[in-house]
Amino acid sequence: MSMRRFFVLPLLAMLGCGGGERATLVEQGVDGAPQTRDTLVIAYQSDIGNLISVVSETAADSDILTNLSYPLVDSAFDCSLQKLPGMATEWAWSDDGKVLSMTLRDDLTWEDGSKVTAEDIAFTYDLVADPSVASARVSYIERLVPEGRPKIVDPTHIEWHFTEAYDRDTQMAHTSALSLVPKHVLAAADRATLRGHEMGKKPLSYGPWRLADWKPNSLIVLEPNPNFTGPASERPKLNRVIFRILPEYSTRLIELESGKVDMMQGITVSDADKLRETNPEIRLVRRGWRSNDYIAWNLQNDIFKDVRVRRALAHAVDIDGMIGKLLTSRTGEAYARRSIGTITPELCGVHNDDVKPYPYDPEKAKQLLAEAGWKDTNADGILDKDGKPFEFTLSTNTGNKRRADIQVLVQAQLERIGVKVHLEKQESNAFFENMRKKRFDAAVAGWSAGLFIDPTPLWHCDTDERKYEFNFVSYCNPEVDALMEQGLRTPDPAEAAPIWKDVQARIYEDQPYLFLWWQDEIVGIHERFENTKIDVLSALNDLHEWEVPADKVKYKR
Amino acid sequence: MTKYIFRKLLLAVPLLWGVITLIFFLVELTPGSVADKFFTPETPPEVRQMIVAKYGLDRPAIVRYALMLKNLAFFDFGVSMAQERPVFEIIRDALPNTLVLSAVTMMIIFPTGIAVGTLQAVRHNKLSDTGASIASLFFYSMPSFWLALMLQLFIAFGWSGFIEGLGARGVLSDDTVGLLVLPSSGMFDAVGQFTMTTGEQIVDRLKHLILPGFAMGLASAAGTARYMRSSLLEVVRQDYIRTARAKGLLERVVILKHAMRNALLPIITLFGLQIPYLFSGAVLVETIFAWPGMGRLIVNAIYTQDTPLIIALFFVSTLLVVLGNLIADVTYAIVDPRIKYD
Repeated sequence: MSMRRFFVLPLLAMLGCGGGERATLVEQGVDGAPQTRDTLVIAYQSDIGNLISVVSETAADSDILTNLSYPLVDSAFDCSLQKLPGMATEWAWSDDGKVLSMTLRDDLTWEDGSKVTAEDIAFTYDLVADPSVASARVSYIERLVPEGRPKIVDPTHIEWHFTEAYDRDTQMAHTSALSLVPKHVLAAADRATLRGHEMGKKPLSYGPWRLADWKPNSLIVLEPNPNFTGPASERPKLNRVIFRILPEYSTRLIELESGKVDMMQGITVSDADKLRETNPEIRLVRRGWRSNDYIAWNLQNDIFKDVRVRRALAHAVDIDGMIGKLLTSRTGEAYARRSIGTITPELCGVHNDDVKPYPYDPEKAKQLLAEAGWKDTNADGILDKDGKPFEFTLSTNTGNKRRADIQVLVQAQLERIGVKVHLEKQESNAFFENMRKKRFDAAVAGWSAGLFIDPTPLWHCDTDERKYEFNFVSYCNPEVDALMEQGLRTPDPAEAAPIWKDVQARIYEDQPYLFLWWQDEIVGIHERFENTKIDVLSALNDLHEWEVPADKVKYKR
Repeated sequence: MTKYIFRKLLLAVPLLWGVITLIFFLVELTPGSVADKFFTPETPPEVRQMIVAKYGLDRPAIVRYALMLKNLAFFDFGVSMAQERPVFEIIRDALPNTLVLSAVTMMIIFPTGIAVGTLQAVRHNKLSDTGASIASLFFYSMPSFWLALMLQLFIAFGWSGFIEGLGARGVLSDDTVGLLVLPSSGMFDAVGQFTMTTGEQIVDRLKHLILPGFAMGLASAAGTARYMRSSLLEVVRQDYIRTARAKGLLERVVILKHAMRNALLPIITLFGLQIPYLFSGAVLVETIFAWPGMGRLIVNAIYTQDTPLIIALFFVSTLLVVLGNLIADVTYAIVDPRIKYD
């Protein structure tokens, strides 16, 4: 598993017969590698776009690419990203944290038999640096010198030179989060049209799996790469992995229930309840705190400028009650926990557990509002101040039932303390555009978790609208800015942790969002699969290790 | 006639231009842009600028519009922004899938509709007529996406589960189970394709067509049956049918040979009007049954605001509407000699 998955989309945005060529099955183990058996069928929501790493975009691209490549530095997740040897067997940092030296394995080959070399690494970074490619990964090379590429010392040694030392996890990710591209194939390609190059659809593998077939909007088939020259222990143990593109949630669920697919992500809590009863052969796995929901208060709106008002609103909403209603299974298992910020609790060394979420206390809310001058002077049941009633519009995007439920529950609870809330749903593109342009009063939205810490895009004061357009609420606290800048400049994660904890505490005090909860993603997988690694890093970690015991095989070929 | 066809085709040019212009500016007015998918909060502004420039989105809309018209004049649809592939290639991938499904749908709509309508007219006001009327109204009023979900739930899941249960208890043989079980989505058995013989693959593909075919065709078949029934009822009241009966012809011959010909006229019009739908696919049914056709292509293109692809798809479907109407007009003139075009 490479750390790429989490780096690609770190914080997100809410936002004919014949069946291709016949399989060349690895029936017999090679060099003592285990014999492969059975097929894993995955219900997958969206198709892949482009498999040239420097111009690939989606999480789906990254799920497939990870399996076609051998990571430069492998990673696992346990409270923070752990680095494990990959193509780089060992590495060392210079004392000033500005030079990272790596020793490379020299036994890896591309699917066509050519060797994977240090030249391929440098070439991959050359492509990222080339403006005509317009790679969205340009941030990787911003602080790499010279010219954003590694220095090749000899065929098995490279050095990464940085202009400065910064968060070491991020620094490391900037060197190893990209899958490599083959220089011998792409060197002569026109860089301006790289996205349209055939390699984007028919990539060359240098990892345990190869792309055996891809029918757009239909399916993607991975098979063991017969020319994989990496460690024998990393050869796949399954015959085949099939990703079926099923855009509709209910279709994916029916296919899982009827056994036509073996794995599905993003199962809702109520469907998980049903599966527990009707399909005991499906193992339900929790992936960890991957995404949050919040209510953003537009701080440019006069109503929300007073921090006492925002704190009052936090006391007025029964968040635990909502978790109980919306995100708790019939067995009483909660699939959400209250959030205090935008740093996921999965980063347990950095998440500030000392910040206690505000308790539900409508009386306290009323008292805070009264202090801020909001009283019901005309006895119409709605608070007012200077002749203006306390009312606002709470918007969200269409197509998200949970957020629609949140809207209604919050509306009812705020009405009880004399706050009038109007509800509005907008088409997703329009909604997020309005958020970026700050054309909203309050909004229910969410972020998915990033495992690298950089809260500046959400909370930095800078008035550069283009750079900080994701600071939807126009939050500005110069002390928090200074702390964030200090945190980003601290290479040692352990040293930076207290700074980040302080940032979380201060932002929570300021309540620019009503932080609701972190929620867990539920993944269903057929119980015959063993050694599955489904966690916060990926639902498909180390796919080459997944296996089925001989007596449980479903698909013989 | 040739003049008429020529005039109609010429009139299609301003129509096409109007549609394309409308669509282009509607997409322009929609919030967001195709480049948004590259942007996360961490994307530096200079990268955003670079990507926007790469897609030419930094140029004024009017310049891009003029450029697009120029390319369209040469039938050059350009390259999809979201998929980075020539639009022509993308349509080429999806169109055959839609055509196969549409062909099956047509086979459900017309033969079924005509047969049911004819039977109803022949058994006018009998129990079977009333029953069929209720059934056809039932299906006619049902939205296709709802029917699709119900077919998936009751047939693909319920019925197939029942059959598999019988198979597991040894009541049915594996082959029978394999034949009776209907898949709930996709175009073919994703796992089975690797082991099936060519014959088995053909059967498998046909089975995958049944449920989406019915979901798309049943409502229209019910509509066609209604048309056919009333049209045939009108025809059988005419004098020449009485004459045919008086000659002592068999009722079967009277209906099938004499009445049907005239009664089919409105159905031919319906068929002409259906032609554009042959190519455009059905958005909801394709999404529910995970059918990689034109319908899903259109929705995805709209969601990603992929202007070249949207324009190409609307260009093609407008052209088909024009052609479909033209074919209906011409067929009409051929079938009914009273109609003449100058």
